[in-house]
Amino acid sequence: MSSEVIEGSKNEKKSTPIGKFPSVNDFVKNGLAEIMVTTKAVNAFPSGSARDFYSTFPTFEQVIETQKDRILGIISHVLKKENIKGNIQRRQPDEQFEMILECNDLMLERINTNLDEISGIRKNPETILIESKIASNSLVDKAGSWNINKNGSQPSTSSPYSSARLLTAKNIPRPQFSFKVPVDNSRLTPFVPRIKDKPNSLKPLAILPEYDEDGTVVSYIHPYEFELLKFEPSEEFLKKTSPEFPKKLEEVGFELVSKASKLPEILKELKEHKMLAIDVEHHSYRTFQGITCLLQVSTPVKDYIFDTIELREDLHVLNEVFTDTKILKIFHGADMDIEWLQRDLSLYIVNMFDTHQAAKLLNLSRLSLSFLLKHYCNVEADKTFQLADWRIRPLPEELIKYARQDTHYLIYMYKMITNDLLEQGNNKPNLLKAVFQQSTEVCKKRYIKPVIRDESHLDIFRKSKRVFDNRQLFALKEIFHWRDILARQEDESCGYILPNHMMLQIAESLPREMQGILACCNPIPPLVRQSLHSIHQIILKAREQPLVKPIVQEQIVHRTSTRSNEYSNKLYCPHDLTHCSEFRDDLPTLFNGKEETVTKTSFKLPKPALSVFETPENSEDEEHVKEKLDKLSKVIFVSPYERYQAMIPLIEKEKLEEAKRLETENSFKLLCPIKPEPGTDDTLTKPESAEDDPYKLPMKQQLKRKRGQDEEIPQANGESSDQQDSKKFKDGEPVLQNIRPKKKGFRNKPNKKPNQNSNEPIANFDYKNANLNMFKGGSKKVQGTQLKNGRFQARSYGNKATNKKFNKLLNTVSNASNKKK
Amino acid sequence: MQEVEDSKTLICLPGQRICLSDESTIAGQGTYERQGYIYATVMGTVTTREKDNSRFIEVKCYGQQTIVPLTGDVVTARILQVNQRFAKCSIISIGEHILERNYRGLLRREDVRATEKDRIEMYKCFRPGDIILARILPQIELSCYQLTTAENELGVVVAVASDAGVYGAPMVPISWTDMQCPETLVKEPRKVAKIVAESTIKEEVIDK
Repeated sequence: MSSEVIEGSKNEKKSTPIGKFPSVNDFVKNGLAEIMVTTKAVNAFPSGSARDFYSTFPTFEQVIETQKDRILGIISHVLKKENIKGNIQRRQPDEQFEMILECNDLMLERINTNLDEISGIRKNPETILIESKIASNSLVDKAGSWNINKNGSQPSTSSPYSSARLLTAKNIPRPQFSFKVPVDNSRLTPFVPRIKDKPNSLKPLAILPEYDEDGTVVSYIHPYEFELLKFEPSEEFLKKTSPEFPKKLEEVGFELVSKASKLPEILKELKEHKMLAIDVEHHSYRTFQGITCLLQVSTPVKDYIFDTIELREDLHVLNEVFTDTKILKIFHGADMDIEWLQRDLSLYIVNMFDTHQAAKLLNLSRLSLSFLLKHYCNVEADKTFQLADWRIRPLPEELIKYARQDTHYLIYMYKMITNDLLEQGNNKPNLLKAVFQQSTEVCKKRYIKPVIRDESHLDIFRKSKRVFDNRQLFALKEIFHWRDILARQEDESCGYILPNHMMLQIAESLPREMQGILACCNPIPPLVRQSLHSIHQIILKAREQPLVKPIVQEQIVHRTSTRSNEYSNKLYCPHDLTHCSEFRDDLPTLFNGKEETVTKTSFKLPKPALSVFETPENSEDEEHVKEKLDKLSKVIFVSPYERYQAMIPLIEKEKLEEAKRLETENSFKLLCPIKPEPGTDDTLTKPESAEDDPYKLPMKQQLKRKRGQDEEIPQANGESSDQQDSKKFKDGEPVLQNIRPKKKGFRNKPNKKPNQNSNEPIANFDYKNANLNMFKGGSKKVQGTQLKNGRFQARSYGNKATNKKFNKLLNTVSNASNKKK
Repeated sequence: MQEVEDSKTLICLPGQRICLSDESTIAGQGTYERQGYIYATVMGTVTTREKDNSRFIEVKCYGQQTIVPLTGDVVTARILQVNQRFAKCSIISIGEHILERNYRGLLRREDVRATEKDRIEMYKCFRPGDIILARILPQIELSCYQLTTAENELGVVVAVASDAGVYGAPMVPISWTDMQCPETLVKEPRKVAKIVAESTIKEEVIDK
């Protein structure tokens, strides 16, 4: 039934992440047991006619339906994950079965390819294609992975010093997979030498650990330390020799060793020679610690190239030759080679001569191998393959040629250099011995795994010469550690996972979005794309850090000027007056001391008696100008501010008036007006009223009458306009009169006599006259008062007889005024 | 108002001790007080002003003006530019001091008058070239002084009708909001300052 298939697919689906099981085997066992159980359960189901019978019961049908739905739901999840189109829950049983089959096929295929990839069986067609191209030497720039310049077909002849070519191929199988002993990248355990037997030993093999203060193993001592300590170069290597120029590459024998069975034979051949030239090719990009890819050994008659990836576990037999004190090993720049040989091949060197060290002692202008080759052998070395990917198998011809060249001339070069050294040392082997000494020191080097400390990221930071704040530093540190962990885990180099400059860029910009992280990288490293989320988390965490201003490291520059030191001195405080003595008031001052008054002295410049440009003194022009100047001098300039200043007292007075008016208005509103003192103001007002226009009389009378009762009323009425105000204060200050310029006569307002007598009693009545005009266009308040007055008037004129009572009340005042009129 | 200029002319140098300072002697512009004495900070002539029963010691130096508009000062300014929201102007004088170097001022629409602020139309209140009286508001921006004319006595003082040209006669105020050209009789809207007419002050001077 289909349920079996379902279980199967479930099992396979889970197999990618193993889940809680410690190993794949456990998982498979568990899975099998489960499948057994399910199969039993399925078999127990009624089938055939029995099933037909069962299905007549609705409860059975119901249970079957719900279980079917559940199982189909689970399957559809699996299918969705495998990117199979279609919804299984809506299909016919036949189609459902087909879909599950398809899914299973897909998964099995994927498992197969993965297995093949790991075991190295699977051969990528692309890799082969590329390699065949090398073999046929047709370096057409077809495949994108070939980073080769145009004249690459004859590199050694046309451009010997052309920039290094990056020779890589797509889909190179990772050699790490084929290693019998897996690489230990963990940062906790130190490197353990894997040497099993120790030929040419003075002391038996002992790999002794070294401890630190806490008692943990830090490193292991050099197995050949004692031998190296005791080593003395034999006399025969300290003599002058007559070197023979080596034969061409094609004329000497060559052997590419990639099978362990050949080794004893080769070992025998090597033992016959007194000198060996050795070089190592190394790959460090797609591996954390690095892989030794090739070992080139040259004797005067034959070149050997050992495939150290293939022979990783077998090459230690070469120790028999390499640690033999009677056989001289010649290296160029052996510092790294020694470590690499130790790490991958457990090979150690005793009795080594490093041409690099020798070149240093000879004070040659350059120390590179290519320079030495040119200098001693007149061979143009093609160093462009230095950065080639040496993992490519089978080795392309070009790379083999290059690798042979490295060691082929080395023996001849060594002989030339020994002669030079002896010559420089006045035929005494002191210099030569020094080179041996230094080379032996190099041999004592031990491989140490790359370690990372808390401050390791600061090295990169300092080199970059950027200024980071604490957030950026935090991000840099976290990303650095993340990268280290991932590199060890994936066995890739740090540069492959995330190059330094990209890391600094990310830490500097702290992108808020995931896209921003990708924008910092070009090209985007594949592992960054994969673990984008974790980087993003680091950055978000960094962004949460409280911001502290970066401490810019002060550049220590010795400044010679003493003045600046004086001011920057913390003890320099000119405003600290505490040290001053007590207050004295007898110090000389400008005022009470010697008073120097400057007397204004006007110098009169003497007029020249004669002048070349003299003009007649009383010319018309001059007079004209004089006239103008006179006129100008008569013009008085009044600045706007002066006019404003003149206004200020008016405003103040206006305010006072306003206050008064309010007061009176309030009192006016009182129900019982204050009784006037009898006959107080009448006499004063009478003379004034005579001056007024006759047609305004009734109004005045009115007001006078009122005044009799309440003195303040007229003033209150008069407040309403500025015009009024100005007139009011006429007597006090003559300026007020013309607040508004009216010189041109645009205004038709009646002009007041400017020279009013200031001694005159209060000119209240005048303002009332003016009021009439103002009321017409005045504010509502004023209008209101006017209306009142009007009513009063009407009454007093028209209804004199009727309003006798009213008249009686106001009799005294009105009578008096009427008589006057 | 009651300022009495000292008749003596004393010349001092920076750092020179001028006199003792006490309750009635106050260090004014161009001086500082230190340890009971008043010293000069600039080279110039020493002047003493008597005001409110105390003596103000000041050092005035020629060629350099140190006056700066303070909040509340009444300044005279020329309108340079008017738009719907504000008028840019250059402050010509602070009080009675004529400035050697103009300051920038900004008169915003809502500061033109105190009432009916929302109905203010800047073009009906000011035109480029007008001379206005305004009061300094608290400074908000560093580069610019905020001005206000929201008082009866502040506003346009001198204005020329826009079609009268540069040499046109100054217009005469005829109401709060209007001015008229004496020659062409054209009326133009302005926010007019209510101040004493020029002619009256002149008359006063001539009378004296």
